[in-house]
Formats: sequence, structure tokens, C-alpha cells
Amino acid sequence: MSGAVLLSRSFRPHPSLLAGAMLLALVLAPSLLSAVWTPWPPLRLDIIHRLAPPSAAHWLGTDPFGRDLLSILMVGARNSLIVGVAAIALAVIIGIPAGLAATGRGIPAMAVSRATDLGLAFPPLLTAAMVVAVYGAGMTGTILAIALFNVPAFVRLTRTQAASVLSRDFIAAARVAGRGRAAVLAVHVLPNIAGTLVVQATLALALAALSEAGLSYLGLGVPPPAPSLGRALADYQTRIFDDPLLVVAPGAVIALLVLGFNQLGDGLRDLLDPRIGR
Amino acid sequence: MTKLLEVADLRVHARGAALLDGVGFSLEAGETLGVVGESGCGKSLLALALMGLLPTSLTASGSVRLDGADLLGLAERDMCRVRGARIAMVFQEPRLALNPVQAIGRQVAEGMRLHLGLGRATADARARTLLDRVGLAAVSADAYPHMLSGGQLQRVMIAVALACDPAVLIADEFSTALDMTTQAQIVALLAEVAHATHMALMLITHDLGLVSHVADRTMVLYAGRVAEIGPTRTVFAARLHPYTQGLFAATLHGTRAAPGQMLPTIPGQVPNPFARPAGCAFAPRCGRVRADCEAAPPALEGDLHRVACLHPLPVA
Amino acid sequence: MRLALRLVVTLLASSLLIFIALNILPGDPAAVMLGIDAQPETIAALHHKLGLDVPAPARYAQWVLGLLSLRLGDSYTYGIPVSQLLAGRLQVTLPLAGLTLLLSVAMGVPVGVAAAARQGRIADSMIMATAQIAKSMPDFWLGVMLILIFSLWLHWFPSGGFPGWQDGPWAALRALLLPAIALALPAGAILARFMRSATIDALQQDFVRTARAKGLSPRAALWRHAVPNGLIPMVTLVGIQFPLLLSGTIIVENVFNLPGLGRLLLEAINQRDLMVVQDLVVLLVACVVVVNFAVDRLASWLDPRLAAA
Repeated sequence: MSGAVLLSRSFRPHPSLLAGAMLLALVLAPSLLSAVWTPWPPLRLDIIHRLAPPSAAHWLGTDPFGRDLLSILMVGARNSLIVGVAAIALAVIIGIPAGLAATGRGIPAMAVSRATDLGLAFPPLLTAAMVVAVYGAGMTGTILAIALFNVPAFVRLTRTQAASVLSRDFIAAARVAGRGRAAVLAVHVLPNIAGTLVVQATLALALAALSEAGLSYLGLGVPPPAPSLGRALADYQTRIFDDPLLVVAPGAVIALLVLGFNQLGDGLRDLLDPRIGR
Repeated sequence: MTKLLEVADLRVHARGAALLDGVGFSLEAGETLGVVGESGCGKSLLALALMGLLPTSLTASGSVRLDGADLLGLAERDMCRVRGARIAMVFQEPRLALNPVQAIGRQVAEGMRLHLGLGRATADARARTLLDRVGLAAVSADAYPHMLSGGQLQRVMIAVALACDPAVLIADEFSTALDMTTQAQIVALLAEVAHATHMALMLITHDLGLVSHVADRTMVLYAGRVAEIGPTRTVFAARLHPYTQGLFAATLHGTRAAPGQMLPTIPGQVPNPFARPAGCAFAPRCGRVRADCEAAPPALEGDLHRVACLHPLPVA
Repeated sequence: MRLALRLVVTLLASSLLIFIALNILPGDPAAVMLGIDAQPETIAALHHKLGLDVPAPARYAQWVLGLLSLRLGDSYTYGIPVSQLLAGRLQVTLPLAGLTLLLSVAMGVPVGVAAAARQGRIADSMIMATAQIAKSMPDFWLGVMLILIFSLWLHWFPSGGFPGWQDGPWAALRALLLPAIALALPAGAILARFMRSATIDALQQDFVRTARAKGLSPRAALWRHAVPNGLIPMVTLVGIQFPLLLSGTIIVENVFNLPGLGRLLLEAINQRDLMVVQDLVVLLVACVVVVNFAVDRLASWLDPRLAAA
């Protein structure tokens, strides 16, 4: 019976990883490029040529102030990426050790668990809006805000994953052999849960990009005049009838960024998951 | 007289390998057939093939005739009418084989409502009677599977299988997950019900003791083929096929081994279905192998007691 | 009752958190309200009126005690009780959240089951690819797109604003439909993907094979046995997603100009109306706790094993 079951599973390659990587590259390349070159300076006003349709000079046309849309999108995407990566990195640096600590038995472990449960009950945007309100709009505030509401998720994930590894027999063996708790966590637990955490971080990046866009849309993100995808959408919303591309384009870039990270995360998860054929 | 169930030349293929390679036997109403063999010999596949529940990556060929009608050729919709109503199956792990979020009474009644068209109240009442019949009078029909023990769950499974009075019941290693006492009780229950309702019972197991107590006939499978088949008493006494002989020798029953004495085993392993020898599948492990054994797989020879061996053990 | 206890504990914890966070906020609400040229005496008078001259711990105690007896204090900006402000806004946000939940489940569950039933085939890949794209789209962008198509081009729906419930439910629902769809599409996509894997897991269980052995067709086995089991983890997911849903309503209310809690929150933040902000945060967190509690109850009802635990 077992032989038959094994044979009935079909082995398929996982193109989602490839697709994700390609989608991300599509957005990453121009945004990284924007650090050294954009077709036009994104802040350059050109009132005479405002609201121009796509042309050879302006590949995506211009906005109500004559600024090149493509350049704005490139720099805006770069800002979203910077915020997203920084925020998730921060969340990981705080969340993973906290999650590992929470697997202990003392009062600090319990406190961390309770705090995490509370943190998860806060709507993410709420937390972000609060932080930005306190620290003011700006890249730092946005990064802190997004990092803050991602911390509970990482703490919880790390804790549950670590707890399941800790309950396995080889951990007991290591402890009996004399390994200290911290060493066990570092040497045995962490490598085993690293895969899941990487997948989670990738997917969290997707959500972070989305959150950054949302915050910017509400005026709580990077302040003007720095280009921002979300704020562009908010600014151009009133012009939607005249020039839909102004609204479609920023949103599409955000969607591509999020899609890329989501695909990449899913692809990584498929790669790391021992159950094949899904 | 046509037999109730006639299986001829049943093969189950998977990407180039024949997991079941020409199995044939018959079953009469009221008869209990024991099917024995090691893991990997295809016993469970046989059961699934008869029920039409093979995984989609496997294909079956040959003929399986129930009351004269070929089951393998049936469309899925027609096969659904046969399953549960005419031919039913009891599975190995009852805890996993029952829906955890549905009451046991409902699960027993489901088949009745489907095949017999009973209304909910009637079906529930019949399910209650059936649960009593299998020894669960003290258990509520509204209980959920997680509230019952393994033995009780297996009785529920039997009730589920018996719901529509099937003509054939296949029990696949159904007592493996149970302790010895419960095992004995469940087997006795099954045998009793089978005899009372004149139901044919196919008992798939690796437990020779079980077979000796309950089965009228025994079939020994090896590497997807029938090695030996016949009345239980004759097969157990004669053990014509060297594999059967080896199985018995490897079973500890009443013999005391002297300290330091090696317990008898069959040397070697069951061949991989993708790499079966051209001739007799047992040849590489057989102590009686001759040159002609490796030429072609031997056919089943004999009358009531048949064996697929060119050089069977002599009758004692 | 357990819910009451959980609510009170969460209320105390979150209120403390919020109070501390907001009271290190730079900027004086009174000064903001009166403008740059205000005299110190006027500011002091407003401080007194708003109760800002009382030390922080006392203010906190006052506030929390008021919360427990459902007195929410007065808004700094408008001077009227916060509860009055909330009453009108709740009429928008609660139905919106409810409608979104309904739509996302109505879209997500059947799509997920359909994909699971066709696992490995092209339909499955296509459904999942669509869901992947749908869940990557920003809900506020979807909102703007929907306005473009259904409001500005087709004139089927209003492009914003909320007419209220007094003239019957239909006008109000029409105003809430596009925003709810904008939110429900990404949320439904997430539910669909999850329902698909939960159903696939259930389909691989032995009890589905037993159902087939009884003579149930593949479709009957799917819907009567696999899906009920797949719904259980799904219900828990809905609970986990609820905070995200609330986040979404905050944004979407701004896209569609809906006078709901989200808009109130942003206005209050900008105006430094701390009383409103504090109350709103506690209210939203309380909503999450209530929804999670309801979800737990529902899961226990669906899964007798949980009820026993």
C-alpha cells in the first residue's frame, strides 16, 4: 500500500519561485537604477507639458505639474523598498530573539506572550498611524511604525515553531548531554526554523510594501516632496477622469511589488516544504 | 453455479510496473476467504481494486465479476451504486477512517440514506439497531469519534460497512491497530455476522492465527501474484508453496526456540515491483529453486487446492 | 462570563498602552486648537476646560473608570461627548465591516473548494494565480479603480459619500457596496488560497476514502465530508484576519469619503484630539477581542473535539 501511495504522488517543478523572482526583478531593477539615474529628475516641474500622454520623451506621460511619471514611480518604488526592507529587518531583529525567549518558562516569557497577543489585536494601520502621529511623518516614523506591528507576528511564529522543535527528542538528548539553553536554541532550534522564518519575512515584505503605500496614501508616510507611490495615488485621484494612467500606474507598481514578494515567499515555502505535489 | 465474486487475471499497473500481476480467485456467498502475505505483496491494493478506489495514477485491468457483472468496466456513477450497497470495506485505522466532526450514528446512517432511500428518522433508528448489533448498545449514537476507544471505533466501522447488507465485505488489516483481546472480539463479531447473513467475507491480514480460526479458504499472495490458494485446513497442513512454508516457519506458534538458536526467517526481501525477476518471483529467496524456475512465472495448478510452483513441497 | 473578563483585561492593558503612547506626544492640543498667537492665559483656561491640567495618572484613572461605565469623555475638538461622535460613525463602519466579511467569505470559500476539487489541473492553477494577483492589489487602489469603472464610466454606483440609513437600507447599501468589494476582493483571495489547502488536506484524510467506500460520489464526499472539516481552520483564519480588515476599512473610508470611524480617527490624529483617539483605539481593539471570541465559539461549535477540550 505504501508503495502505491508513493507512486501516485506526482512530482512537479515549482515555477512560482522563478515567477516571483522575475516579477521582483521587474520592479527592483528600475528602482535600484533610480539611485543613480532616472529619465528626468522626478521633482522637475514642467507646467507647459503637464498631463501629457505617454510619448518618447515621457514614457508614461506627466503629472498635473509636468513631472515625469516614470521617474516618480521609480524613486517611489525605491522608497517603498527601503522602508519595507528596513522595517522587516527591524521586526526580525526584535521579534526572533523575543520569540525564542518566550519559549522559556519564567515570568518574562509569559509577559512576552501576553504582550504579543495584545499586539496582534491591534489593527496594523492603527498602530502605524499612532506611531507616525507621535514621531511625525517621515521615513524613520514609517519604518518604525511598520516594524512595530510586524514584531508580534514574528514573535508568535518564532515561539510556536521553536516550541515544536524543542519538544523533539534530539533536543532532550542535547540537554542531557549538557548543552545550555541558549546554545540549544542557537545551534539546534534556529537552523531548523530558519526556513519558515525566511518565508515569513518574504511574505511580510509584501505586506510591508502594501502598508507603506497605505500610510502614504493617507498622508502619514514619507512627506512631500519625496516621491511616494501611495501619495502619488492620493494626489492624482482627483484627476482620474482626465488621465486614468496617473492612478493606474502607481497602483500597478505597488501591486507588482507585492505580487513579486508574495510569489517569492510562496515559491520558497514550496521549496522548503517536505510535502511535494501541492 | 456462478460464484458471487469472480476475479480473473486482475492486474494493477503503475508507470510500467505491475503491482498486481494476474490475481484470480473466487468467493461464494457465506464464505470467508483469508488473504495473507507480507507488506508489499499487494493485499491492500487488491482490496482497493475490487472497490474501484485505486488512486488515479494506477490502472486496473482484468475482470472482477460480482453476480456476473464486471465491476472494472462500470462507469463511476454506477460503481457508486455498488460500493457500500453490494460490496463494502472496513479499513485499518478506525480513528482516522471516521469523520471527526460527525456523530457516529449519522455516519452509519449515511449509506442507508444513500442506497436505500430512507428518511432521516428511519435511517437513524436503523443505525441505532445496527450499533447495538455490533456491541455498542452502551454508546450514544450522538457520540463523536474522539470519545470512543479504538475497539469501539472499529465496531462503528463495521456497522458502517454493514449498513446496507452488502453481499461482500472486505476487511483490510482491520485488527492491526487493536490489542489482542479486542482483536479476538472483533473478529468473532465479524465471523458471526457473516455467517448469520450469509455474507462473503474477505479477511486481509498478515496474521496466520487469525486466518486459521476464521477463514474457510486461504489465499497466499507474494509479489503481486497468487502463490497458493485452497481450503484453510489443507493449505495450513500441506503448505505446498515454499513461501507458505517459510511464512509458517517464521511465525512463532507454540514452538520453543533453544537459547542461542536463530529464529527462522525467509532470507532476502520482497522484490521491488519495478525490478521483478523474469521467472518465479520467489526464486531468488527459494531454497528449492531449479533452472526452470527462472524461465517464466509458474501458473496456478491444481483443483481445490492450487499452487503456483513448479517444484512444490511434497505433501506430507 | 469569559468574554467580559477578557474584554476588561484587554481594555485595561490597551488603554494603558495608548495613554502612555499618546501622552509623550509632542504638541499641546490646546495650543493646536487656539493657534500660534494664542495668549498663555487662554491656553491655560482651555487646559482647565479640557482637564489637561490634571496630572497624567489621575487623568488616566478618570478616563479608564469612565470607559468601564461607558462614559467616553468629551472630544477636545468638538466639545461634545465622544459617544455622540461615535454613534453616527459606527453606522457606517460596522455595516461596512460586516458586508466585507460576508462578501469575502462568499467569494473565498467556494473558489477555494473549486480549486481544491480540481487540484493539479489547469483550472486550479488559473484560479490560484488570479487569487494571488487579487491579494496583492492595494485595497485603496482597487477602490479608486472601482470608482472609475462603476461610478464614473457606468454610473451604476455613487462615487462616494454616505446617505444614511433613514431612507431605508438600499441607498446606504449601494454606497457601501463598492468599498466592501474593494476590501473583500483581496481578503477573499487570501481566504480562497487557505480554503484550498485546508480542503486538500481534508481530502487526503482516510475518512474521505471511507465516504467513497460507502458509495458517495467524489462531489458528495467533497462537500459533505472534506469541506466541513476544511472550514474549521478557515474560521480561525477569519478571526486572525479581522484586524487587517479593520485596517482596510480605515483606508477605504477615505477613498470613498465615508463618514466612518476611520475618517474620524485620522481627523482626530491630525487635530490632536487625544480623547477621541484614545477612545477609538480602545474601541477598535475591543471589536477585535469580541470577534475573536465569536470565532472561537464558532470553531467549537463546528468541531466537537474543540468543545471537549
